[in-house]
Amino acid sequence: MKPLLIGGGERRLFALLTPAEGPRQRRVVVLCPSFGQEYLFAHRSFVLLGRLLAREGFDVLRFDYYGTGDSAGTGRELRFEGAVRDTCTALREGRDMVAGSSVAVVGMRWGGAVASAACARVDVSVDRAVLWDPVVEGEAAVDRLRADAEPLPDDPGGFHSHGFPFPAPLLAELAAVSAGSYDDLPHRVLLALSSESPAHRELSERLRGDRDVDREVDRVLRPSAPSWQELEDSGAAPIPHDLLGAIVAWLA
Amino acid sequence: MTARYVERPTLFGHEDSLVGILTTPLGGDAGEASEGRRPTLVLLNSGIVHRVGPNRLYVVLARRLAGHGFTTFRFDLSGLGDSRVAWDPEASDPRGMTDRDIRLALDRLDRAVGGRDGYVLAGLCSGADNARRAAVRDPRVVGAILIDPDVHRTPGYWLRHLGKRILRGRTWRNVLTLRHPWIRDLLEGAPEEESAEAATAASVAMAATTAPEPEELARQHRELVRRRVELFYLFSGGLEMRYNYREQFLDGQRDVDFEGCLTLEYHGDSDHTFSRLEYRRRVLDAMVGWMRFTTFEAPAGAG
Repeated sequence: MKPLLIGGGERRLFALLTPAEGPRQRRVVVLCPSFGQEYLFAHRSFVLLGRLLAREGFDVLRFDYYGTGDSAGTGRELRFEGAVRDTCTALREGRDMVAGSSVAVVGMRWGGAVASAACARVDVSVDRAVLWDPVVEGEAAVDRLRADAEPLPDDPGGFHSHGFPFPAPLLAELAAVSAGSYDDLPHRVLLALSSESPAHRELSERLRGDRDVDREVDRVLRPSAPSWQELEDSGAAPIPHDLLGAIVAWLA
Repeated sequence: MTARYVERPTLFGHEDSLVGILTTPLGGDAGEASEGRRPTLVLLNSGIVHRVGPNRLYVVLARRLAGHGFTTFRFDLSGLGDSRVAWDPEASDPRGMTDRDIRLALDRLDRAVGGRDGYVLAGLCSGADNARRAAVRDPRVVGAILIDPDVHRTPGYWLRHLGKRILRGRTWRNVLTLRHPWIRDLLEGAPEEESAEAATAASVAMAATTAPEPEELARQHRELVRRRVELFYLFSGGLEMRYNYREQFLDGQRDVDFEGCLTLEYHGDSDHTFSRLEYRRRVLDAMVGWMRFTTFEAPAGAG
């Protein structure tokens, strides 16, 4: 593995490259995390996914958005739009690090919407995308975050939830996430779910029914407790081994 | 906002299996550092949370301290965060691996920053336990920040713990209606399905602590005091099932003369991970203030 800083100027992002082991698949997989506490609780699962993919011959690039994790920036500077730009940076770096490789992206929860927006914008050909428990109803998800949050000083529309700030501009971006946020995904998509909601089924149909794109959409459901939420005051979230295995198998 | 720090990720340890991030003041700006010793702060994993710390606390702390001239190193112990487990016949059990990893981190820092002013180890929960143990073993350690380490309950703890329940109306209602779990158990034997309260009560009574026995802990503290290692103990209200008043730590270590090497704080309204803004602000201010205004001795054996 190789920890490094990508991006330029003040917007330095922490990233970790896990090189392929054994025969190379010649594909780079970029992992896009969620925000806030979801990022923290899912970190172990993300690390394991990266290692499993590397064992299957993929080069894996995992990174933190500006204002999160080990990247530069404060939590109050986090923006969805900024995360999309950071993902574009990571996709370019991934492509450039492993010359001649194709590029895939895995987005978990909010990271799914970020990944989709990045696919539309980046000058990198992303040919596969995995949406891992994607947020489809942004407004409802924001309301759930708001439920036991406290106000943010000097930011009447924002709040602080479980140790993480959610400034008003970020909340407006998150509330706008909907099925339409996923319209720019590549031709091959996997919906990887630990639980399935009507919104996920609608998303699946919408992606399949897109007349502008000849898209193949697969879905895998491996019921488990969410890997991005604390399990019963344990201080930790479970690792969804079955779901991770399904993601790796699909990408392979 | 212009950053006042530089961060460098690094690999170190056996087979480069450990991942860490060094935060240094921008441009080598010593700032206040020129006025006295400024040991490097080493942040240890809290539970299984990776090196960013609970709710990214360690990242914020490291960058804030850089603004005051301090260097900080946060890293993942073997098997946590991004660090792998590298097999080592001399450290094959978890505690042995942890002790080795901390030693290797200090070795790495000796090469990177010189280590002239020594190191302060800091951790929360299991991180605090690991920090204290390493501080005793390694003469390069000149201070330790220990947040919510495992502790023994004292008679004063039980007085307050039971006293709260005795004063609760619900407790008396349960007693008078023979529904209190302890009375129910006495009369009927333990039910197949315990109530949440019963389970909690049982867990309070039965949960074993991983803290060293009080006599061993006292021995460790005396050794640290002998070396003039500065200690900052901070307890939160999140440890309520083990710690519920400020002086509990002192009551449990009555036979130790800390000779001015101890700072003790009790943030009784804070939760274990300082998740609310005010708790977070207070614990950060406390740690930054302690680092800035404590007079640290030279590492033991330093020239």
